[in-house]
Amino acid sequence: MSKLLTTTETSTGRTVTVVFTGTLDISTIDQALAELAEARAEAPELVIDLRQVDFIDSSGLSVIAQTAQQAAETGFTLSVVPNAQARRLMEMTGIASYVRIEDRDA
Amino acid sequence: MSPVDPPSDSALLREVRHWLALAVEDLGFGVAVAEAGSERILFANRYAKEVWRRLAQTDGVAAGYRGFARDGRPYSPEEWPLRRALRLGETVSHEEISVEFASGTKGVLALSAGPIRNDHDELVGAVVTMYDLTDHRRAEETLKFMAEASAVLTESERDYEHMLRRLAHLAVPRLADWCAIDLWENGMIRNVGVAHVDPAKVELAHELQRRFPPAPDSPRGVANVLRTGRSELTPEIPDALIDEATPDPDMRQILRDLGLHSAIVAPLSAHGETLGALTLISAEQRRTYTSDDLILAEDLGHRAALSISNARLFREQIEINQALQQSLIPDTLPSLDGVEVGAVYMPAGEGSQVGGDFYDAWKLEDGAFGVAIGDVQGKGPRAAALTSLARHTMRAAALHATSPAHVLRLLNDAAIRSDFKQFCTAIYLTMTPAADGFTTTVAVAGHMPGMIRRANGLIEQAGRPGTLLGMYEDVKITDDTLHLYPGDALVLFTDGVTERRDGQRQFGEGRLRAVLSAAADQEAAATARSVADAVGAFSSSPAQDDIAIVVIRVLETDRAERVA
Repeated sequence: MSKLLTTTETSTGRTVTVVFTGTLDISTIDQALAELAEARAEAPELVIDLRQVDFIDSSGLSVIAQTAQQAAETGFTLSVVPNAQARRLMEMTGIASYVRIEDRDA
Repeated sequence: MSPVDPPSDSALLREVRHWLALAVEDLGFGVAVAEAGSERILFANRYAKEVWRRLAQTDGVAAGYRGFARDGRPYSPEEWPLRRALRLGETVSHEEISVEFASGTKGVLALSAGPIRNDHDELVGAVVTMYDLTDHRRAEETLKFMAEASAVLTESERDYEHMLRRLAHLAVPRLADWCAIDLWENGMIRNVGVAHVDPAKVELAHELQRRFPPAPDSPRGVANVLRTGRSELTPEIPDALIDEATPDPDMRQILRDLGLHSAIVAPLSAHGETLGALTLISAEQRRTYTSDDLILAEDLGHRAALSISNARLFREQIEINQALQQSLIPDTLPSLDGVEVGAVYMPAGEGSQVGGDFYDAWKLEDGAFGVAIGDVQGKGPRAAALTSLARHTMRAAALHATSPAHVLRLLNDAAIRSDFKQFCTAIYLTMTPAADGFTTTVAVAGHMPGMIRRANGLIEQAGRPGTLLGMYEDVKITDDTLHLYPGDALVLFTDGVTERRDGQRQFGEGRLRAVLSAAADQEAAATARSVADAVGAFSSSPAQDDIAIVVIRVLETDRAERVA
């Protein structure tokens, strides 16, 4: 059984939302990056929804950091809907200042 | 006789009998018929005669040959299936009997027998059928062996000598009575495994190897195969061959007494290189090796060589990584006036990947010094390269930068320009001697802030969160200045400490604070060790991330000197 589940929704052809559920750590980084690369090809605005993630550490955060880096380089828009753990990590690493953070009710 | 007349019954019968005899003669199994009373064989087809010939019997009833049931119990003459059918009227269906052929080779026969009765239900004879299962059994054993050998070859890659010994044991007695594996190392033949079902014979082989070490220039056998990389098949080993190949008379006699019958020596070759040789010898079983067996041995040798080659590459890689890792983490931190420094570094895994954690400390002007800790994203050579860049950039920048935050911003510029496309987190701090301790300035970039353990056990944060390095041109990193008094300790660590997992639980900052607080009277090295032990004890699962801990403690003696 996979530790990370992904669902991808596209709305209005402009925004693609990737919802991660489960664990985002060193064991699921590659899977998460692959899912994001696939989703990004579908629309110019990418939303990563982490509210269903029950565990994320700094390895998991590197998924957000790398995607943010790609967003800056290739010019797509990235928003993150964090859970509390992800928000703390994003603030500690300063990533919070560089990606759009959307607050939505969990 | 006109063409329309049907043949008389007796003529048809004769013809059918003739066809039947022809058909039975060439059947792929043995059929024989014996008469009751006289126990004379009335008929036997080609296959049956061939089996008897190989058993050195003129017919199957004399039963002078020996057979054994599966459990090893010998068959008495009355027990043979044909006898039982002939004398008792018994029907025997598929009895597997182990036999020894006249050549000395062991085999397995499947026998069935049944009585023949006349119209008055009188026992007049019996029929026996036989099939030589030897090759089938051997093929089955070989398949089983290959499956088990494959498992051994893939599972224990790291310790290949152990793997080779297990392989030798698997081959005995299914493929051979003796199996030996030798490696070619620095111009010498080194035996790594000998197997025989009898431990006394294994001991004898070891003794022979001690007394008569193999000569690398020998024209036959292991030495020749190692030299040429080509296998040798000796279907039958005559005494003359032993005599010719063995100059020593003692050795010659021992080898003759062992009753060596047939041999294969196959190279352990991979990537065009011969690493060793596999020797299979049939003795007690008197199995005569064929070209099929040679192909099997060559295949086995090739696969064993691939495993050895992989294991050696893996070992080399670990050695390179360890050397690389050592170049990233200083062996000893410099001794710094007024403080003691303790550090622990624990790489995750077995050293197959270079980790991204680093730390360093160096002297600045006027008794001041700088301390760095950091964590580069990812593992392996790229992470190692960025780690190296980070350490050296910080050391160089520290000499002319105006503050620790400035040092980290310069590192950020270097990392972005380096095209590594990887990011890192770091803390850099300076400590400058001041009245009653040290003035300390801490800058944090994407890293967990450090902790100060006051002499009384209270824990405070050292440094304010700042942006990680290598991603953004414009980073927010600030200097945080504080004072350390004698007995205070500054604790820096990487996320392998706080993010150590036990299921979904993390070690976390709370536990770290508790450990540090409880160790308030410990010196720097003991404090670092206490943290590492607590992290290690937190979870039984293997660590996924490297752990680095650096503790700098201001010496109490410093206070004494200053007061004096």
